[in-house]
Amino acid sequence: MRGRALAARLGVLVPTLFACTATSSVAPPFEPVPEPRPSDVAAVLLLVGDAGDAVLEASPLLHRLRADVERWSGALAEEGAVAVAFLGDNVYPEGVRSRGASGFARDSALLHGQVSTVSGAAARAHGTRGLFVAGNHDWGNLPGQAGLARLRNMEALLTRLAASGPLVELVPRAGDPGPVIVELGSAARLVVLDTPWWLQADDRDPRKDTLIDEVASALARTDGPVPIVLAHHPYASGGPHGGHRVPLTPKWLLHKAGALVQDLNSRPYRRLRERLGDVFERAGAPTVFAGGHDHSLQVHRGSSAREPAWMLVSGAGSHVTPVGEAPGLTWSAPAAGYMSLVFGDDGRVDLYVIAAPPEVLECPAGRATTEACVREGVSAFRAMFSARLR
Amino acid sequence: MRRLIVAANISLVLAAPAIAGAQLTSGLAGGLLGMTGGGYVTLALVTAQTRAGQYHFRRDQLGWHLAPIPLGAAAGAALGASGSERLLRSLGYGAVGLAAGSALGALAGTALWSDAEGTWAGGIMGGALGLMAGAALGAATWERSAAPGQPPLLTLRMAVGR
Repeated sequence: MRGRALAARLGVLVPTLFACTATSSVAPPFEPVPEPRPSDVAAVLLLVGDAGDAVLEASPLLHRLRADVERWSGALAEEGAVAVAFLGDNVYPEGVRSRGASGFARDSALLHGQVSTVSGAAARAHGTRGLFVAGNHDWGNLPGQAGLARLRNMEALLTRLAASGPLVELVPRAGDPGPVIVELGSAARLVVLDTPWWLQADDRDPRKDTLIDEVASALARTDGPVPIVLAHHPYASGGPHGGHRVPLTPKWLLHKAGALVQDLNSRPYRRLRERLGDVFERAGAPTVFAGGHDHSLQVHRGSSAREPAWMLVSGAGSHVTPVGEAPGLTWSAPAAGYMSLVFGDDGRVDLYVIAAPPEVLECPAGRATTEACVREGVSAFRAMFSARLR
Repeated sequence: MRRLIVAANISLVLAAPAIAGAQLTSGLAGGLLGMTGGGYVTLALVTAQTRAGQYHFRRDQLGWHLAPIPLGAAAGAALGASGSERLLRSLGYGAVGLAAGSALGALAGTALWSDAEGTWAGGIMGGALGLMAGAALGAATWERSAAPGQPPLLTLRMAVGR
């Protein structure tokens, strides 16, 4: 009898727990924004994050991204009008290890796969850039000099790959917290930060004040280009790092206590958002703040002067994790994919989320069927969401 | 994690001589419960460190923080081996200690820290303290003093071998 009562209770409890953790998506119907004619487009910025486990030969996503880069580079046919921002965690699990270490070959292959998306003929002909932003895994999840060494390895590898043609670089450079300002033609001003550095640096480090001041001056310039902030860590997220974790597990408890440094509610992360919020309020908020970190695709709309107008999470380059509810979350999907920001000649900015079901993320490598699987996977990607941001 | 499991297993093996026959089940149960309780204490230690501004960036940075897990497993196994009654009492007292400690800790956390996470951090740390105190109290045995007028004796006995 008691056993039955327990089973009945579990019958209620277990589905409730699963309901709390189930993969969900916020996908209200939306009015698709038609893709503008290339003649009306000034620049295109593609955003892909956390692609550090994508093996080129087996990743439909990298192939689809490469095709998109080629298409836009060729269609715009203008020097430096197209760029791809790799939003961190570019090499899993622990960044680029030293030459001679057993994992170095794999680490280089993973980075090479992403570099290849901007190595096509049109991309090379029209100066398409690959901007690699540092993620916590690129720091090897190591604080201090040990982590910096991993980042230097990545920088050295990118420099070597760039010597053969593609315009790829680590932004900001290893050891520089940023911001680095990258102009995308006259259409957009990218303000790029190394947020993993912020999370590990002492709160009294004067470079934090410098970073904040420089972000403020970059945003205060209202001379035309659309301000876009790029970092690995997102400004808002409804994913695990935002608190969408399985209840009553150790990580859930640690998140609640703010003890997971990579989560949005840890003290260093919250302090970063608070200080950036002060800047946005004072100097003006960017149109877009794009990050990765959580392995999903999310579009958040800002609701105050302390928030960017739009906050994007594009971290589904090689892993997919669930998304829950979050204030301001307009659309989300636990899907594989990337985003593209299309800047019009007239100052408008359109967002397209190119996504496919998570199963499409990876094909079994080294088999006779791999190529066919990749081809099929590439065709599974489509614009799942679009919006006019400005 | 692998090292942790090995340590927990070694602890159980060391406690094994005390476990015999019918006590095997309660010894194993005690080991598992102790390991779980130890895990909770580890969470509290990690939480306490982050409140002091020290964060862990990867799992292998956890060292001594993991010690409560094998220690809890060994203590739980030994306690279980010495009698299921004491194990159950320790479990009951531990649960009460966990609840009371969590409530008091949450109140303290709210008073000490202004952020919402402070309440949870206080709750986790208080809960761990309560759990340890309750479990130890439950594991102890009370004996009425033979001498009249003397207070009862509180003894903590643990089986460590045959």
